[in-house]
Amino acid sequence: MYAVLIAGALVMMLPFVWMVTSSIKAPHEITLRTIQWLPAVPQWENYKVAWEAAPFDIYFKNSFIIALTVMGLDVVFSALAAYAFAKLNFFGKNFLFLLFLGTMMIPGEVMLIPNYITMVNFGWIDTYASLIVPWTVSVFSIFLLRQFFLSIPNELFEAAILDGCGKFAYLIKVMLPLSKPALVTVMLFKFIGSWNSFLWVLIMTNTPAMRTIPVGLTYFVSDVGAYYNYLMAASTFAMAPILILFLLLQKQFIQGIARTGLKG
Amino acid sequence: MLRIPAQMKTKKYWKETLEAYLYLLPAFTILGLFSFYPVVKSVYMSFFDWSLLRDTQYFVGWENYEKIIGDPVFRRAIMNTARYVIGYVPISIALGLIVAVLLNSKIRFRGPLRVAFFLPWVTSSVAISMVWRWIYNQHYGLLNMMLAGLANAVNTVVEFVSFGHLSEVWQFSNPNWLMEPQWTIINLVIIAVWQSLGYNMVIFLAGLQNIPHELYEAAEVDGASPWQSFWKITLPLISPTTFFISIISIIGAFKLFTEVYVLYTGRPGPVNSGMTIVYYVYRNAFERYRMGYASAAAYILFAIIFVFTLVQMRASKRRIHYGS
Amino acid sequence: MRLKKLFLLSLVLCLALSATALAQTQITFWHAMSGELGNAIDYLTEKFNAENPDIVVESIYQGRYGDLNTKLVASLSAGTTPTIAQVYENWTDAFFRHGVIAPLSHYMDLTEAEFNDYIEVFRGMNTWDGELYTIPYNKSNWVMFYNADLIPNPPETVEEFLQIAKEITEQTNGETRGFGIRPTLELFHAFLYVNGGDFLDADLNVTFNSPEGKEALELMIGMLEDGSALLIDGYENESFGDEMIAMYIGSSAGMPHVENSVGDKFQFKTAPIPRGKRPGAPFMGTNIALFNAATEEQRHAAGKFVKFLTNTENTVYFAIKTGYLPVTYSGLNSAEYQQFLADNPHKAAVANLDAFGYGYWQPTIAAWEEARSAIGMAVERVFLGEPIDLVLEEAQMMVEEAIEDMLSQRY
Repeated sequence: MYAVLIAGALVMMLPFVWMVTSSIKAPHEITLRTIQWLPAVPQWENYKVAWEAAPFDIYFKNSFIIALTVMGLDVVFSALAAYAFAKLNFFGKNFLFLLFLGTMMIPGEVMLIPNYITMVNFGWIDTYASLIVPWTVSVFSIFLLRQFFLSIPNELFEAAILDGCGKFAYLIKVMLPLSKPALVTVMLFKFIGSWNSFLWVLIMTNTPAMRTIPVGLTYFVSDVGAYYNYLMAASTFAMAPILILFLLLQKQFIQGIARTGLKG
Repeated sequence: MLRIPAQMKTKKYWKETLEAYLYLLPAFTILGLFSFYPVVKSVYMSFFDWSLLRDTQYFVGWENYEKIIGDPVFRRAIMNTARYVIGYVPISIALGLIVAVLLNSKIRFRGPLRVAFFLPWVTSSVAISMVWRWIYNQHYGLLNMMLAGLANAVNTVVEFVSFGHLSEVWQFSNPNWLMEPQWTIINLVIIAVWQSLGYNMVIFLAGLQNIPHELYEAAEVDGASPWQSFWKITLPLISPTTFFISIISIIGAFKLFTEVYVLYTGRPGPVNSGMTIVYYVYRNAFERYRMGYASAAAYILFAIIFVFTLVQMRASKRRIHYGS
Repeated sequence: MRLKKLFLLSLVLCLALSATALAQTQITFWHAMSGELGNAIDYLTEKFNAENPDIVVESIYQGRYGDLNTKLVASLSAGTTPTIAQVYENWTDAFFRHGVIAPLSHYMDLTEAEFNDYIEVFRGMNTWDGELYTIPYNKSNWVMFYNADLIPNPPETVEEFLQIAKEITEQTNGETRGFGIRPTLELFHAFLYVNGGDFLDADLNVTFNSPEGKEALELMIGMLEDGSALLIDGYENESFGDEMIAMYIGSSAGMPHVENSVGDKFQFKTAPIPRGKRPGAPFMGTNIALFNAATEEQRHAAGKFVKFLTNTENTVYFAIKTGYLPVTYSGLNSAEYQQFLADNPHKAAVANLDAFGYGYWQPTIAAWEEARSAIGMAVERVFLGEPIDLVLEEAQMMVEEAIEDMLSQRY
C-alpha cells in the first residue's frame, strides 16, 4: 500500500519537479530531445530576474491583502448562511438553497460584463473593493459548511435550545469548534481561489498598482514564445505562500476531533 | 386551494424565518448584487441581438436559442463536454476518496504525502499548462520519452524470452497527443484528475474527521475487515461530503473552458475537439461580440446542469445519512 | 475686510492652480507588451512625458492580446475605453463598422511627406474609408529562420527549398529534418501566396479553394510524407534550437526567443520566404487605434504621442529593442538601423527592403476572426489526413457564411 501511495505521490509531484528544476536552467536547456532534469549550471539569478520583470512586490502585497480579507470574510458570512440552511426551519428554505446553488451553474464569463458595468457605476474599478467584496461570499463555502453542519446530530442542537441556549450562541460555542476541519477547508480553498484569480483581476483593474500575481505571470508568455525559466521561477515563488498556509492548516486535519459520542 | 403546512401557521415558524433571513443577509446582499443581478441581466440579454459594440439592441425573442441548437458546433460542444464530465467526475471522486482514506490512517509520512497530493491544486494554470504541454509534446515530451522507454523494455524482454524470434513487438512511434483530436478530451481529463485529486482529498479528509474512531475500533473488535469497515462505516457516514463533492464536481466539469484555452493556447483543441459549451459562450461573447447569443448558450448549459443536479438530489435523498 | 480679501486671493490662487492642472491632458494607452517590449514602451512613454509637460500619457500593460481584447470589449460596453490601444486589423474593422473609433491620423498634423514616410505596406493595412484610421506600430515580418551551419546558402525559390530540406534530412540521417511545420493558417498563407493565390479577393470572394490553394497544401503534406519536414506542436523556435529542424518560417518578433533557444549551439540567420510563382513577404502585428470617447484635447494629445512614437529616432529604438520593424522609410533607412542590421546579419531578412515591395497581409475584415478559425481548422484537418478537396470546400462555405453574417449584421 505504501508503494502505491508513494508512486502516486511521485506522479503528482513530477510536473513540479520539472517546474522547479526548469526554473534554474538556462533557456536553451529546457526543451531538449533528451530530458535533462538538472541544469548544467544552476541559474539562481532567474529568480531575481523573474521577480524584477514585473512589479511583483506590489502584486504580492495586493494578493495577500485581498486573499486574506476574502478568506476571513467568506468564512464568516458563509458560516452564517450555512447555519441557517442546516439548522433553522424557515419559509423558502429549499427554494433559496436551490437558488444559491443555481448561481454556481452559470459560467462566470457570462457575468463578467454586467459585473464590470456595476463596478464602473460604483466607481470601484482599480480599488480593493471590486477585488474583495464580490468574493466575500461563495455558494461553494455555504454548501460545504451546510453539509458539515447537517452531519452534526440534531439532538445536541435541540437539547441546547431546550436548555435555553440561544441559536447564535450555539453556533459560536458548539458548531464552529466542532467544524474546524470544514472551516479550515473553506479558508484554504478561498485563499487559493483568490490567490490564483486572473481574469477578474485583469478586467477590474486598469493599473499595475492594483494587480495581483497571476497577472504578473503572463509577462513571461506571449504569442511568439515563452520565457520558461522565468515563468517557472515566478510560479514557484508564487506558490510558496499557499504551501505555507496549507502546512499550517494541515494540523487541523491530523488532530481531528476525537469525539466520543456527544455529551452535552 | 393551496394546502398550507401546519407548521407555517405557527408564530414560531415565522419568527425563525425572520431569524434565518438575518443570518442570510450578508450572503443574500453580496450574491444579489454580483450573482443574481448579472444572471437576470444576461437572461434578458439572451433574448436580444445584443452586441457589445453598440448602444441599441434588437429584440429577437427565441432566435438566439434556435440558432444555437441548430449549430453543429454547439452540438459538438455538448458532446465534448459530456464526454469530459463522464470521464472526469467518477475517476476524480473515487481517487480523491481512496487517497483521503489512506492518508487518514496512521501511516508514516502522512503529512508530506498529503502535501504531495495537494500540490497540483496550488499552482496557477499559466505555469502548469506549460508543464503539461511539455509533457505531451510529441518530440521531446516526458510522456513519449517514458512510453518509448517502456516500449523498449517490453520489446527487449519479449525478444529475450522468445529467443530472438519476436522482436519489435511494440512498435512505438511518438503520438502527437496535442494535435490528434481523439486525445483532446482524454488529455484534459488526465490533467483535471491530476489537479483536483488533492482538492477532493482535502474535502474528504475534512469529512472523515467527523467519523468517530470508536466506530472503527468497535468494528475491528467485531472482526470486520478494512474493506467491510469502509463499506459499512466510512461510505455511509461520509455521504454528505460525497454528495457535496459530486454536485460540485459535476457542475464544475460542465463549465470546462479555461483548461482548454490554456492548454491549447487560445484554440478549442485541434479541429474543435476541445470545443466545450463554455468555450462556445466565451468565443461568441468576446471574439464575436455577440453577448446576447452567448448568454443564450450559457442558459442552455444552465438548464442542462440544473436538470442533472435535481436528478442527483432526488436520487441521493434516501442515501445520505445526516447525523449519527 | 482683510480676511475677506485674503479669502478671495486664495480662492483665485486655487482656481489658477487647478486651471493649470486642468491644462494637463491625460491620456491612456493600453497595450499587450510585456518583458523587454514593455520596457521599451515604458521608456518611450517616460521620454514623451518629460518632453511634454502639458500631457500625461499612461501606458498600461493589459495582458496578452486575447486579454487585451477582452478588456477592450468590456470597456466598450461600460464606456470606459482608453484613449488609444493596440489593435489587430480585424478588431479595427469591427470597431470601425460600429463607429467606436476615430481616425487617428487626423490628429497628428501629418504633412504629405510624413504621411508617405509610413511604409506603404503598413499604410495599406491601416486604411479604412480611404484614410489612415489607425497607425502601424509593432509590425513584424515573417521570415525563414535557418541553421547557417547546416545551410550555407539559403534557398531562394521553392524548388531550392524543397531540395535543401531533403538534403539536410538525408545528410543527418533524419536526426535533423529540413523544415518544421506548424499547421497554421499563416503557414498556409505563406505557401499559398507565393504560389500566386490568396484567401479573399477585393470583393470578398473566397479564392483559397483553388488549384493554388490545393497545391500549397499538397506541398506541405508532401514534405511530411517524404520526411523532409517534421510536424511541430508548440513554438517552433524550440525544436529549431534543439536542432530537430533546420528551417522554419516564423515571425521576426520571435527573434529573442530564437536566440534563447539556440544559445550558442550554432549560427542561425534569417532569409526571405522562398519565392514560387511570385515572391511574398507576410506582414503582421498590431496598430494603434483611437477611441471615439476621447475628448478633443485627448485626441490631439494622443496624435502627438503616436507621432512621437513613430518618429525616426523612436521607431528605430523600438525596432532594435524588440523584434519589430521600423514603421517609416526614414526609420528603415536610418544610419542607426542600418548599422544595427550590419552588426546583426542574422536579422537581415527582417528588414529586407525588397520584401516591402511584395508585402501582403491577412484580410482586415471583422469576419476574419471567424474565418480564421474555419481556415485554421481546415489546415489541421488536411494534416490529419482528410482529403484536401473536401476540406477546402467546407472551409469555403464557413468563410462565406461568416462574411455573409458580417455584412448582414445590424449596426
